[in-house]
Amino acid sequence: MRNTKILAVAVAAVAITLGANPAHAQLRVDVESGFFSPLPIAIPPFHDPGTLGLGNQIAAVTASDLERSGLFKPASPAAFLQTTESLARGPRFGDWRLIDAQLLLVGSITPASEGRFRAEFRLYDTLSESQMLALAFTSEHSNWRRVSHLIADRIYSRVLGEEGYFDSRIVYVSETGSQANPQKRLAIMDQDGHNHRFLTDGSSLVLTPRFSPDGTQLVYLSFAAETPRVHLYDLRTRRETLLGDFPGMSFAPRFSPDGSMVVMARAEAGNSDIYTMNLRTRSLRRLTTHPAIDTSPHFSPDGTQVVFNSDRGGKQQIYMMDTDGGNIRRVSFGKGRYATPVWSPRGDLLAFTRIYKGVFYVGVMRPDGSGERMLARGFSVEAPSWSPNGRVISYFKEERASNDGQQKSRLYSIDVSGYNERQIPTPLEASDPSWSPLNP
Amino acid sequence: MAPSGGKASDTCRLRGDLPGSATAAGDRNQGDEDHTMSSWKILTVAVLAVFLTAGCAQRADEAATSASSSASSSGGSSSGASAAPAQVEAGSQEDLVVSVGDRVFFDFDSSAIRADQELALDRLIAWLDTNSSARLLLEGHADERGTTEYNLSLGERRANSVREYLIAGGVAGARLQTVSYGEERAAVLGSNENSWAQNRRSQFRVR
Repeated sequence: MRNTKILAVAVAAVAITLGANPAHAQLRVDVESGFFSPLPIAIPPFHDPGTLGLGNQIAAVTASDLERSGLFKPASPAAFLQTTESLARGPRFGDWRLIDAQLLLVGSITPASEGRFRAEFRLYDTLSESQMLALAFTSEHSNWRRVSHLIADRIYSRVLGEEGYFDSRIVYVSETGSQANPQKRLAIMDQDGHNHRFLTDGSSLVLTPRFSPDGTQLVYLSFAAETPRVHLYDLRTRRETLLGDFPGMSFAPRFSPDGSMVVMARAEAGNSDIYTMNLRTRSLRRLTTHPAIDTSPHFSPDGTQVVFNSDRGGKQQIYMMDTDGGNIRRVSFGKGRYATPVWSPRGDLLAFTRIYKGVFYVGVMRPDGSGERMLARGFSVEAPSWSPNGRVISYFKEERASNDGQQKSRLYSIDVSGYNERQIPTPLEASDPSWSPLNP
Repeated sequence: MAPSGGKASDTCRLRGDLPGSATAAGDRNQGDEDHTMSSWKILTVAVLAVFLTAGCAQRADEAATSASSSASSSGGSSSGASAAPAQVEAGSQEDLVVSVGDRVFFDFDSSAIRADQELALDRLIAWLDTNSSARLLLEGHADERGTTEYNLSLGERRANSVREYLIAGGVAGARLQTVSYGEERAAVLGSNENSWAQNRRSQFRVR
């Protein structure tokens, strides 16, 4: 199958050892402290002597990734002084310093065997006139976007000292129809909105898709039967299966970090509690037993804790427990209602939804409840999901519906600093984003 | 959005079905349609007076909900509002809508049966007693002012509150199934207090 192939396509990467002393570049960037002004970078079209037609495109997608992160500022190609052809013989660093490009990416594309192409690139610090990175990727022609994302990831991690997130995807719920009868479909796309496709046909209402840790499966809620239940979607086979045949509604599913379990909520006699399901045996284990609403569970990245929200204290707040259901303690103590807590993949923060005085917020706090900050607000902002490197949070933002029930709902991302809120393009209205891990 | 269900029957309503007080709800339902506002208000008052003295044929389908409830795909067949009561098949969804009403309302973030909704549920118990073979699907719904997953739980709780009330009134539990739609099936369109009040509901479907 075609999508199987795309997922499985290997991108061969090799380090290029040409060039002098790439190991000790001077540029050092700290993005953890306070306001950060984006790094100027020049990304001229890749030299494409074999006219594979990818030179402009790869440069543009790489530049677009870096620009959207808010941490890089690609210079306008109109300002470039040195041509791509001339660059192939070596950069004139003075020309690039003159247009304030602190970083320079020089790339070339050449044909490889079996219709593949090879993209080779070098990253320079124009001030010290030193090479920071030299690498080549070989892949199929159809895979050029992914190669561009991989190049952007390598630049990001070389300059910022943390892993990138551009070679990743987002699954979400695509919406049409009115509030009374919405049609909702699972859809998947690259993190920049490209390579979009629908996974389900809209015949069943679906909600809250979430990736497996290896990126090959989704868990989500489907109303395919009369009772809403957690389902599994295999991205390789495109098969949907019901996850566990037990009475009552099951919902709010998320994989454990090792992929062996799904933690979810289940309702019995009107009361929602939290369970884990062993995916191999399909057996359930109950973690909470409380008449309050316990839902939206999420494993910590080290697999030792489950965070969830509960109204056991009166109002909805965030709680933490051990994975056997013991040691339950409250985490959030602020005003309003707290919901949908999600651990950062780094383990250092929880993102959550907060509703206070009729306004929705997406915020972050430390796992002990300290250091609470609001990042985004609106009539309705909900469902935070972390980029694989724990740097960016996606969520959806809904406007008030018109009186004919049409709702405007779109996906957004924001840097964990609270800066750089961006819309993620989708063809239709959108909700419930879930960011994939880095593609395998 | 013009109400399509027929004004005459829409204005005959069960007191217990209204999200707030009857007159306040009347204002709400038509709040966005100022061209019909004043005449509708007068009609409401007039009909409420009739209701209080004589008790007209009751319809829970309110003006503002009739257009949208027929759009709901959750298996109901509550359209056909023009049919006269005489033609309604006993024990059918239409019978339920006409003689009892097909929903009760809840307060914000609550699944407790409100005192002003008990009359509707008591009538439902009597109806189920009369129509002893009827089985109901009790849907639980929430307004849009919560998170998706919490609202699924809240809807489940609301449907179950109704179920427990009916069982306490002598209805066999086997006749009553519940399902939560969370905030996914609004009965009244729009994002305002009026629509939210009417979307916080449990709705009954004859199966």
